[in-house]
Amino acid sequence: MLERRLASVFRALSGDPGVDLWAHRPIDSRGTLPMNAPHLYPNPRTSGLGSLRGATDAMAMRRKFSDLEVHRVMLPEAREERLLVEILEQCRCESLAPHAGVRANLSLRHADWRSEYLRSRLHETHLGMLLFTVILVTRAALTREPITPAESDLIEEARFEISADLGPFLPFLKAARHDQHAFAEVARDLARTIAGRITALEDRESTRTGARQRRATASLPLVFDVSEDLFAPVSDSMGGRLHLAQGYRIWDTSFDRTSHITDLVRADSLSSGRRTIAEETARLAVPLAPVVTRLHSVIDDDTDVHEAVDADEGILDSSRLTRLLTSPGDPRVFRGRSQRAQTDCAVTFLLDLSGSMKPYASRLGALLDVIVTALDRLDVSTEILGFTTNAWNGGRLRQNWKKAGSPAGPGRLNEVHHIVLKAAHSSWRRSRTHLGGILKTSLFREGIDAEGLRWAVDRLRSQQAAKSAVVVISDGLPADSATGEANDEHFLARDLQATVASLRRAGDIGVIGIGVDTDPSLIYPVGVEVAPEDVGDAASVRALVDALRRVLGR
Amino acid sequence: MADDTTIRDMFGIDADMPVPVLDDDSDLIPTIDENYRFDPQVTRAVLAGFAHGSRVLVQGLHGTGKSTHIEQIAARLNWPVMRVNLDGQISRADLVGKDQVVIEDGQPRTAFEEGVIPYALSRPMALVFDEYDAGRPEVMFIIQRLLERDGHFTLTEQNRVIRPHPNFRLFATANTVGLGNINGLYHGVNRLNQAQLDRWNIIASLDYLDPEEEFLVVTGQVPEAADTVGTDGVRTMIEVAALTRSGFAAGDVSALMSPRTVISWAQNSVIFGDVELAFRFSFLNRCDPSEHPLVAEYYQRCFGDELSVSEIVKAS
Repeated sequence: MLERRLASVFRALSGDPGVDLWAHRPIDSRGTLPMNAPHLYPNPRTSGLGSLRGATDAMAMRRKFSDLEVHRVMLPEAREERLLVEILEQCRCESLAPHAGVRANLSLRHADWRSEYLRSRLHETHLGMLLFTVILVTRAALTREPITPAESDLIEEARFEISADLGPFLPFLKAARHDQHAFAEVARDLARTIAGRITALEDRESTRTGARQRRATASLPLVFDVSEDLFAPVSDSMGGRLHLAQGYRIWDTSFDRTSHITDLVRADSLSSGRRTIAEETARLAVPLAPVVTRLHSVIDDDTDVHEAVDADEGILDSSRLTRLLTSPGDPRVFRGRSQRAQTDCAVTFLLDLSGSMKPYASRLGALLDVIVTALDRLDVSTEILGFTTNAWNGGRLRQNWKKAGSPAGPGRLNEVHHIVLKAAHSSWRRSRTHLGGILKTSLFREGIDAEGLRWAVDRLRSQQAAKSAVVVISDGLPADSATGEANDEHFLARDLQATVASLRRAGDIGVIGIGVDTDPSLIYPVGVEVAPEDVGDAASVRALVDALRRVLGR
Repeated sequence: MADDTTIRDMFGIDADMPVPVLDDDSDLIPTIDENYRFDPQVTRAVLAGFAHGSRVLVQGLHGTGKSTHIEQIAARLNWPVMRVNLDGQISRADLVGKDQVVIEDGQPRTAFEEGVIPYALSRPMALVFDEYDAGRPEVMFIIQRLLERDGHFTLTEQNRVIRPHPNFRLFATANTVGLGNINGLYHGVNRLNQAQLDRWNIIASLDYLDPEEEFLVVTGQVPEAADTVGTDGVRTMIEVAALTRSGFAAGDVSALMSPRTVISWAQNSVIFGDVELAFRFSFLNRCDPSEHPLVAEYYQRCFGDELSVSEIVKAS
């Protein structure tokens, strides 16, 4: 929940509705944003709220005040220089923070980071101390926050040592705060000067031996271990891991298929499955009436779209006045509006049919049984869809990819299988039996959530209902072994995040995530976590109904 | 109609467009708000509507003051205004009119009572359709007829055609969804909505006031706030409002603070002598409880103080 809240603040402060946080990293629809200043990533388990807020606010300021392209063009090639320019740019953006509360959070986060740095004893190497001093002095110059007396004592020697190098740059850095390009010019010169010193120091330190040097190299990652995906200098080839910043890719779609459950499961199996679900529903005994009542208020919509002519009540129809004279006994001289409660609402349930969902199949059936029956009574159009794959471990796609010499970053690498259990146009009375197909767990393989979601949303949009919602029921992040191995482990998760973010921006469809034994609010704007043993019981139905009320009641 | 004043004299906008002023004393002329701040672009668009009879649609997010903008221009031009909200409740009969039974000389007979459109159409009047994008299809079809080029309106109920008064003007306001694109005009009738939009000659966009302008509006309306809360305090209030607007645009919160909300907040701060309490009364209590923690985050970012929110809500 906290991360969702911080992500919302990230959007509001940066003024960019397209950004989000993913495992405490800043992302947008292209992937992880390259923000590599070391103080932006506090440990979420051990850091206080203030530090987490400060890190988010720092990312927001960076997004707001720094143009990525300008920054990338201005980045030097040498690693140490790049890091320094990166830190200085972050510092510049933070110095422009307009809000008092944000400034306090930024200051708190940076103080925490300095404590972490000192606790890790990085400053005990000459190099570590030099970096620490440069960061402190430049930050103080830009933000006008004084260095604490204790820190001042600590860096006194190093400060004296580099004051001749650093001093001339400070006034120029301050003067160029509001101009990213001019600032980067100064920052590059400063970084080059300091990097010269760092190289000299590294040469000197590498000739030493013993624990000290080992510690220095072992813990330097605290400074340097940040993703550098987008930070290849512009002159570099666009190979390697740079593709992460581009969109979603699919190796081959020719083996994908969409089937109806009746093509996959024999009629007698469907019936016996349906009986099992009915028994489960009866055992859980969730009363239906309150569900219908609670949904009724947000779904019912008095629309009266058609005019009734030749009515026997309503407003007098001037074109029928002759009838009064020709047949005085005929009362049909009025026009009226046909007032009937019309529901213009559609809800799609999208089921994750990956292997790990097998244990919940019958309880999931019971949950859908109750909620779809209630929606059906309210004349809401419903669909029940599922996503899985045709094969384990990538199937034919992975074989073909191997034959092609396993090129890097192939994208999605398995055969997608989408299944329709109930389509919008088929009545619940008729398709109730098909829900039994959910028990054929041999169909459950791997899960490529975002493509399933996009497919479900396309179908939902084609219904053109005034209110629409999609409910995704899943037990975790997307998982496909072959895709994960050939790309990176977050490839599918990022795509899901981006898909949900774009749906939220479009705003025409409410998106709800039901997480079985997992917290879906990490991804979905409205998320409900349900324990495995509670799926289908009264509490889980109520939680789902409340979520539907939230998104449909807007 | 007097045409000797220009937009520069009346609104301080750097252009030489003449401004049509009516000689009218109708009760429907809005009252002038001296502190109202005009957006130059929207003002020019709306004045073009008044001067040349162009049909102007003003779009902007909820709370940007679209209708007020048209009203305040009309107030200075002495132009009567009638506002009709096209939300779900308005019906065809309200717009066009209906037959009613009346007693005349002791005899019952039916008489046609005209609706808003025939009434406004035959008078020197600006008709403003608010929430234009919320209009229901059957209502939109009627407006479509009004938007035809010559604007003649056929009353089928009475077999007569109403020619618009030379000083009849038509405006509409609509919310935008996302980045300035109008969408969601009555679901599923996309072709019609394109046809509808084509019939508006001018589509103007109104954004929120810039913070300094908003500061002048708030301190203009509530001069005491500068003493009670301090000028920096008022500026911080406007920062909170800006964050709620960004949050609303991103779909993170379902309510936002319009300039009107900020004015209420400033007034309540003066009344209660407590900015935080006034914030609860003016805005927080209007939000869904599940959004309180996020609103509290916005508040913390601007004021640097924690807004206490129920722990129960925070944990949910």
